Amino acid sequence: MHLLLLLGCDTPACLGGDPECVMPSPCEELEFTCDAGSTELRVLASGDTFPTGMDALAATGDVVIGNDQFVAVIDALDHPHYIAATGGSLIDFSVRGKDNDSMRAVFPAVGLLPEEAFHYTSLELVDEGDVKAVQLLGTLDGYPDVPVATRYEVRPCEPGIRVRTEVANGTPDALSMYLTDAFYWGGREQVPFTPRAGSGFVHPSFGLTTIGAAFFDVPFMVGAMHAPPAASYGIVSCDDEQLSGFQSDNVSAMGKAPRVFPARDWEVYERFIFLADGGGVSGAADVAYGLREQLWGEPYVTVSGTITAPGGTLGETMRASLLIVDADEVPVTHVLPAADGTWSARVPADRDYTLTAEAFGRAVSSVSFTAAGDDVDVGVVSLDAVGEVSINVLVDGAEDHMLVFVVPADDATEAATAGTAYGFFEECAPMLGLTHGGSPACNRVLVNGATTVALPPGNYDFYTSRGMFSTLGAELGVKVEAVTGQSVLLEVTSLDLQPEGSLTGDFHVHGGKSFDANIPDLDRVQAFVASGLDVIVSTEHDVINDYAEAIDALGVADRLLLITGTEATGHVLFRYRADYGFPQVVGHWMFWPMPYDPEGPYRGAAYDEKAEPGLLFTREEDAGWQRDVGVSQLNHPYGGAAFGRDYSWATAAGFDQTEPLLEEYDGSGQSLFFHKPEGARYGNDAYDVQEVLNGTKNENVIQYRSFWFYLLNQGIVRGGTANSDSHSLVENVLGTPRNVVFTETTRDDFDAAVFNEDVRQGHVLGTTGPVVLAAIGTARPGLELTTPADDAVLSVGVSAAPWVPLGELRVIVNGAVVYGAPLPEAADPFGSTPTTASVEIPLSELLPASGDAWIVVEAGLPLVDQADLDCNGLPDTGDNNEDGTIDWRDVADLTEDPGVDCLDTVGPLAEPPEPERDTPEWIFQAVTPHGYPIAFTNPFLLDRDGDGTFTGPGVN
Amino acid sequence: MWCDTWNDGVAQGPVEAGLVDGDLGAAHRMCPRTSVGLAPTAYAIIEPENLYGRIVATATLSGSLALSDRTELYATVEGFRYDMLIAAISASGMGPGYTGLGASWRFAQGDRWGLALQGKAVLPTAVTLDRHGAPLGLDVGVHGAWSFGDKLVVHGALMPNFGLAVGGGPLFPRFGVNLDVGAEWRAFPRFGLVLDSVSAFGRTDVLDYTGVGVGFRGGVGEHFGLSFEARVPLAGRERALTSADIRADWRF
Repeated sequence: MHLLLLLGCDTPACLGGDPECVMPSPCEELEFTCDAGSTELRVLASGDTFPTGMDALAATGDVVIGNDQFVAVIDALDHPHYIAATGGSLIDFSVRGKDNDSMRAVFPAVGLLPEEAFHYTSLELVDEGDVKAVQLLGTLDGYPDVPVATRYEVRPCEPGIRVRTEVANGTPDALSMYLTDAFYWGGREQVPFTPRAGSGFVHPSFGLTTIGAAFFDVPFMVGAMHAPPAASYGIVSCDDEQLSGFQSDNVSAMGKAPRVFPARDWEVYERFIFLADGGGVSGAADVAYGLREQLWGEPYVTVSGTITAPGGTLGETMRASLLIVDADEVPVTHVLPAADGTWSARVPADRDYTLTAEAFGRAVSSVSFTAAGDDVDVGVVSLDAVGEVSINVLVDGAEDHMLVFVVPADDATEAATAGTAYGFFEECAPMLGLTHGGSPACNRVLVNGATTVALPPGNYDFYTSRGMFSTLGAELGVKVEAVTGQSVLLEVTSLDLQPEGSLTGDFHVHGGKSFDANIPDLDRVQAFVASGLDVIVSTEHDVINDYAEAIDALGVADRLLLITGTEATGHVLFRYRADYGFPQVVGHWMFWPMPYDPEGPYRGAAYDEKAEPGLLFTREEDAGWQRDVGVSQLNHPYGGAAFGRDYSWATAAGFDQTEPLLEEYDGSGQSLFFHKPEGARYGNDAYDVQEVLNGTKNENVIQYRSFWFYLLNQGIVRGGTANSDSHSLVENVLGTPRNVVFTETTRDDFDAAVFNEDVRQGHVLGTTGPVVLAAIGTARPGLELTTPADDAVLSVGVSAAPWVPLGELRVIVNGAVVYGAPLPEAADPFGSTPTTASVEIPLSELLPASGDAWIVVEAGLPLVDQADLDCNGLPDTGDNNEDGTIDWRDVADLTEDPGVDCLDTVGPLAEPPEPERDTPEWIFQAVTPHGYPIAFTNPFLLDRDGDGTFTGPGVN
Repeated sequence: MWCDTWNDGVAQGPVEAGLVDGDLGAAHRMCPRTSVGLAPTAYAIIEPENLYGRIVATATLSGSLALSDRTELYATVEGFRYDMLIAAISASGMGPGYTGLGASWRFAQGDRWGLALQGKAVLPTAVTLDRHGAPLGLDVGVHGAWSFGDKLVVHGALMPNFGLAVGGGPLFPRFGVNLDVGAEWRAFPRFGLVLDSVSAFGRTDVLDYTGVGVGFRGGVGEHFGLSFEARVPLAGRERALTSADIRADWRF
């Protein structure tokens, strides 16, 4: 009986090793008709028209497969993207005629681990008349005895792609088999929506070890992009009524329920992956309900209505949206009304529903209705009236691109306006636009001339600055009332704070081409200009973008010095540490300048997976990185991980800062620093600079500088940089922190090679506000050696805009603070008089009796105390329980004393205290959210023994 | 011959706990008996470094029918099988397990020795675990034994085996051979020990495994037997820590 059942089902066609096999057409139960259907299938060649959109990755050699409804791209086998082991992933998927590709990558797998990814070895184009397909054959990446096959098929008129996957277990062992499609969203982009009780946009958080608890069965999943121009995507199974998987804004997985996959067993999985024009859920959800009616006979009805909103205008994502939930608490769809307030959406028939209207990230009203067999018109739903504010900024008397922060002026307004984008991203008050999209985003608005925004009634402060070297433009206590108009004019004056002979730069900036960013290029370039930076290094994750179209469209080419670079970002886990039990990646590394190739894979960047840093340097050089005139940068040396993918090299390598680095490679993390990987021309240590400051929220500086100091103490000299790592208008403010590069090249006659040479040589001041000019005689900070005279003096001048609290001055010698002094406070944060101070300190008061030494000078608010509780030399835990001591009680994951001197579990770092309203620190944070003032010089390297080399004092 | 004197319920022969589904390749006793039994069994792979673990537990019914003093038909039915995989995404399944149908014919013998031809088919009856492709196995081999006095028997078995998948997918055929050599010692009238050198070749690699098989066998009265047996691979490709069972038998 069982045997008959086995033989009778839909058997695999392409797992037996026959290269001539053809997989059957998936989802035969589905049928779509239209008047003028068509299909296309071709390999992209240079000069072709390439699919476009914010997330478009199509390159020459990739396959375009589409029909009259959409255009999709499957990447060529030899240039895979993100987590996939080879090409063969769905990387672009846009509505035909629209430039709205919003897809990073979708690919099948049988689990989470790298060896469970598909490794295709052949890609065939299948032309069966109107039916066209791409057929891929291969094995699992880590199991050559597990054959796999996938067919992507298009037919005329259909709103998506039919997909069939076959897999068989040819190993002698049972495997865990979760046959799924991984939707790699990347973060800050699509928001997955599932119609499950209590879910919708709400999904349980999880880690690699707790993922089992995040699995749920759902009838379909939709990934909604929301920020225009966008497409939304969805998936339904053609085999099973439910899909099984987990959701996050990083990755969603939807497939067949996990099961034991015994040796010799096989599985076939057929599904339909579809798209709809525009952001929001309902477009794709409407397709899903239509599909499920065909597949499973589930009827649906169409619900429609109108939203009215006195004051302001509709058509903005956060202005109005509708969530429809059934009587069993199952959110069934989410709708963004059209600009005229009309809307419609499909919902399952024969249920009772509650429709909740949302505005500015908050639920504001609800109505109930019943969807019986006929379509339903729920009528008019009225939102609360709001006001409008016209914001303008004058910079030195002229209108210009500026970023304005809208801040509740009192606690009542904050409480009344705090909201989230569909409950998914972080809270904003007020919630003016999708958190990580274009302007307005969260509580921030890009302006260039008078710009009108809708605001809920309340009292608001408006702030802006031209980076950190201008006055603070502010208008405080603006009362916004419903259905009224207001005007706000902010005036900003440039201050003479940027040192002569310097250019400012941000060497870590992301835009929409990065997998974890969703800001349109136009908004990104506006933010470039608004930051007041001289030099921007565009550093998209894994790809390159030159922003040329946006720069031309805005006419700001003469105001920006843009260098194209890339941030190599590991996705595919691999084992490179003999003393660590799990596969890892190598953190994030920056390279500039890189040549931009609009038609090439990764747009000119190198394939950056499964490579130690030394091999990355080699590959990027082979891809066109000009090592001799460029810069390589170690980004955020310490940090966490996302889905096991380490953000940071020093964390991944597990350097023990109480011990010297090993020069001889023995496979351990401690010996990785100097290791030259196989196939590399360079060792892992062959980078130029490292980030000492990363991000506007900057408490991690304590760890980054700890690593920097650790290297300096061993005589390993690298320049330090300060970058924003901005991905949007919200999480980090572009240009804060920034580098002040002391260089002979100028904006008017810019020579990137000269500029980069100065960066490599550490002629850099990193700052979130203060300016620190330090000198020992004629010597300035940098990586050149200085032999000071016996009576030499360290001269320090500090200055800052009046809204930047200076705090204190610190002089650090060989890793220890040897001098500290308070710095003056500004008389009026809203004034135009910079705060200044200067001091001269004899070196004899700073240096040890003999030996080479290094000096770094810092200014800013006192650093928060942190301690090293795991005894590896790295500060890891703050006084989180505020009891005056730092011990195991401050560790988040400990509830009892482990009874050991060195803890296995540590952290988190303590954050600076939230400032009180209207204090200088609060005002500073109005335009530097969650940050505090800090500046650091690069080191003076003192060759006191005059031997022509710098010898570090050794590991402390 | 010892078959005539070892006529109580105590288990006999090489260690039968196997490392392949349905105990494919494991030799069977050469002294026929008519009996029924029940055996909880377990199989474990623990590899945290590979994020992999597997626990299989079964409740196996067994029965044998002595057709003569030389010939026996026997069957094992995994009435319930629980299979748990511990991985990045863990999974488990349960249901009926595999069925083995076998026969043993002692075709030559002397006062102190015997030679038997043995064979077994493993049928794909784990219908809820093998969803589509299921294993069908067959082993046929020779089992020889020599007794030293009344208490000690040495034995050896060479069991070529073959398996493939049925169900419409790839066949994945596998050939191998098991070689088990050891001794069983009836230390006391109702207690015995068995210690085997167990090896398998060619099914998954040149050396599937080599290791030890050990059994502690007891009996109560004339009919009831209780044993604990384990097969422990020490080298080779096999990933399991052990396969073990506790068997209770009633000999008619």
